[in-house]
Amino acid sequence: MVRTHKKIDLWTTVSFCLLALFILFLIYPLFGILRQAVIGSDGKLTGQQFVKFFSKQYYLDTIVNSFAVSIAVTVVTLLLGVPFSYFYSFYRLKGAKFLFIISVLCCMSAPFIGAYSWILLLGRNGIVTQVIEGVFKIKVGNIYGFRGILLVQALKLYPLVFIYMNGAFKNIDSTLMEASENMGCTGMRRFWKVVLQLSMPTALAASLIVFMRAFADFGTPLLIGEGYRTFPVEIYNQYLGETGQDHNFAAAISVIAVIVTAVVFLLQKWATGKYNFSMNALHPIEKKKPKGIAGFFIYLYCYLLIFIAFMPQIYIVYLSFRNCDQAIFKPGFSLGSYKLAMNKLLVRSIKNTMLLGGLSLAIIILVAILIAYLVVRRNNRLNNAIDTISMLPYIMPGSVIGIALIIAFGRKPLALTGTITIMVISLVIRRMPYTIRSATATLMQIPISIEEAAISLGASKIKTFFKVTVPMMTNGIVSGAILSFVSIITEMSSGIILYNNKTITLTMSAYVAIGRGNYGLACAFSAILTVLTTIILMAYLFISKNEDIRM
Amino acid sequence: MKKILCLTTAIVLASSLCACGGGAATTTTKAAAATTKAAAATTAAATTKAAAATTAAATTKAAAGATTKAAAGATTKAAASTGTASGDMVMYSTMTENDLNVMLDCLKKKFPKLNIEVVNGTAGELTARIGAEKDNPQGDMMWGGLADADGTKYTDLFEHWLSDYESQQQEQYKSPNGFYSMDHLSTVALCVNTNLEKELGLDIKGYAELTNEKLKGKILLADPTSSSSAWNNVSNIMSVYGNDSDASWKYIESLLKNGLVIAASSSACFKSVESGEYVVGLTYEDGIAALLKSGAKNIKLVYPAEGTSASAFGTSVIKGAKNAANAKAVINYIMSPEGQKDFGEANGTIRMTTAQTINSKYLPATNSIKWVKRDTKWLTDNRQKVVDHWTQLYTSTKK
Repeated sequence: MVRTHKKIDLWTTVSFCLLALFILFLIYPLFGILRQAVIGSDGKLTGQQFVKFFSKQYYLDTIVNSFAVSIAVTVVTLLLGVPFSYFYSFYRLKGAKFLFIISVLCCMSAPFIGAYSWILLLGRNGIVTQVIEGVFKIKVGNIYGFRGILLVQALKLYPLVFIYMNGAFKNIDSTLMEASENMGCTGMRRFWKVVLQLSMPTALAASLIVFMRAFADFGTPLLIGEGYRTFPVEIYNQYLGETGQDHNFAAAISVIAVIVTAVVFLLQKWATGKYNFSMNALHPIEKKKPKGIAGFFIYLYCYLLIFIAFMPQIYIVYLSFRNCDQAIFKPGFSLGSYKLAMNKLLVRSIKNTMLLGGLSLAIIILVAILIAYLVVRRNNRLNNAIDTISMLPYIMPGSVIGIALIIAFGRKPLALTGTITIMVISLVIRRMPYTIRSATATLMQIPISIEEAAISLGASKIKTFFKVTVPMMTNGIVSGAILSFVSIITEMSSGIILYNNKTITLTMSAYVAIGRGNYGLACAFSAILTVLTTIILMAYLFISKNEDIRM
Repeated sequence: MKKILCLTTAIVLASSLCACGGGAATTTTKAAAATTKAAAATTAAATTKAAAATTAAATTKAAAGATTKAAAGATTKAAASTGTASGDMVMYSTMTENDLNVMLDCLKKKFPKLNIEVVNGTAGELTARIGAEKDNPQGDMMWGGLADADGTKYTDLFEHWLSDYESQQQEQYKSPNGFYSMDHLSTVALCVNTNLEKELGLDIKGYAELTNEKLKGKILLADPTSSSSAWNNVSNIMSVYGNDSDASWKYIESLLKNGLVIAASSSACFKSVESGEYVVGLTYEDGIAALLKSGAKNIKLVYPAEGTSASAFGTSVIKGAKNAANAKAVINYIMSPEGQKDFGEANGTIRMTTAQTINSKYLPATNSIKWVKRDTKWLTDNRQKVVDHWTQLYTSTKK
């Protein structure tokens, strides 16, 4: 039930504070860039850039292609991720923690390195291609073009669906499941009619995130698109191409991207609005043991999926131990790449990665919880506006955000270029949406009667929020937070513009190594990043075991 | 509630300590130097006042950074006049590992007291970055990526200064715009995978062989609308067949019809050929030669038999650079006959603009190649026309 309060209370203040922060750190930088879209060379307003975009097939193709790929990727990730999540949540799988960690690691491969590894595996001269064609004599297509982008992105993004849906499934009450069984609805039917419907808000949130991520991805199409031109690549070229820069045109394309984001986002909001219910996970699902043939197939599906998705990263770790002379891999193994990494700011990269990751995540969680509350419990135009604004940076290529931030904060009194602060700002505004979406979806399912009960027992609004509501939202927040964290530490595209040797992170070190043609070094940095993330995830799993929330 | 506030404050404070940790070591040594300079003190005061608005961590970093740079700038102004450079300098560069390692080695020998930090990126990324940073430049000079075909596109980012050796430059390598000092060349070349070439039974010597059906979908070129190496290649095709002539466009169309693949980056044009993904890459000699230097055994460097030409690339001081004097000292060295010879011979994969004969270990001698004349001025002036024609042709052949 939605209540509107006319008087100014704590939450209205929070609304305005958030709005002020967003205006300063989000709208002001982006506005500086985007207004170039409508200003012609003579300084007057003009729609000429938009006309140029829509009138040439060369550019229109990019939007059509991006949509095609993103929709396909969303569908495939749902097909892959939902069953995987179902098996993980409803069955007691051996090695569940291992499955979880590997899945998360799959979605964190930094764009250039992951795609490069896929090419080495499945390119025309790829290792797997050669094995399959040599041993099985099947003619495998290669990884380029639409198929390749679909494969690589789907395998990279299905963990998003997996993690979101885990949070949702954990919140389902087992009594509902038993009740439906009593009424004769079991198995697949129960899955479609009960389980999926109950977790629909989260499924829609996951779809939105995956769609946007696929739409905005420019590393993968750039490297394996081979002529399949997509939207973000065009924005990147127009802003940062070596020879063809046209900033006004680029700004126009960015505005179109923003409008697309807003439209898709509003569609999703509308669809989610139809699922207005709440439930209590008084009895969380008890996991069954998988038995017999069905059990075998469940194990096969789960382990095969993560193996295929994780293959490129395994290969990168393997390559990091090979002898490498800049761009040429030579036979034999050694720790040469790692020794080189030590000389190339390895320790500082690790320190910065942890610092930026931790700081950004703390800020994101706080902001996400507040926004989720505002959007769900205080549903009005202002809060909806805040929600929509928070999604805008998600779709713009990171490099554009980087440029926007440098221009906005290049001068005194806010001269932040070259500092950790500007990197934190960039990470926060770009990676907030994961946590906001999952927190919002979770909060929608929590009945307001519980908060009202707490208030009627004498707790203040703040106390109710932090001691009752937030703990109940934990599952949803944590799933989004993991994704935010993982995407923060693999942040690259805005880092390209903002980094310097004092603020360099592991992913940036890997990118610089690739840019300089030092592939063994890049593999070493990536491998170290993988290990670091694994340690953090294991720590999280260990801690969360001791802090199960029981109602 | 209080617990959460305490925790968050603790985390933020702990993180800001972390942030200070790295910078502290470098700032303590320079702080002493800063206090002795009156001019540095006033600028430092101004920056610390302004930076007070930001968080504690950022303030110490920004103020410390400004103080050290101001101090270093003052000391190096005196030093540059005596021919040595010391202190810090930030170089923005597009050059690859091989070239950068050699150059940094040469600079270390020449200026042992100079501490150089390199920031990498493509030419587009770096120029966009310099443009965005113009109110608070973080870099001092840019090396590589500044092409003679740029014209005046980026001149507002750089200082209007040329090296002391400009008057001694050969006519065709003098600065095209008064801002770039042209130090090295990038000659158009084909990277050919010898294994695959043998499998297909071909002998690729130049442009004529590229229209062979057997190479359909196996030829790689970067995007001429955004990559300078691709533009370099298109410029050479135009120089061979005639600027904007029917013959040129007919040849380009035949390449597109033969499944020419547009690569993600210039480096893919030699790297992907080496890894066997493609048979031929239209690229530049440095990339191919660097792979050969690293020990690649399955590729060869082929200059088109119809003729080849080169783009000149340069270096420049960033406008408003904090260590401009150091940057100028470095550029003067790079452009000097001594510097050109040192770098050219140590590297062995890049041709320099100097008139001296340099023994490049991995490149054929200049007089063993067929050169064609390139009208850089025409190409620069008509770039947009050529690019538009290209995109139109590209879209129509892709249908």
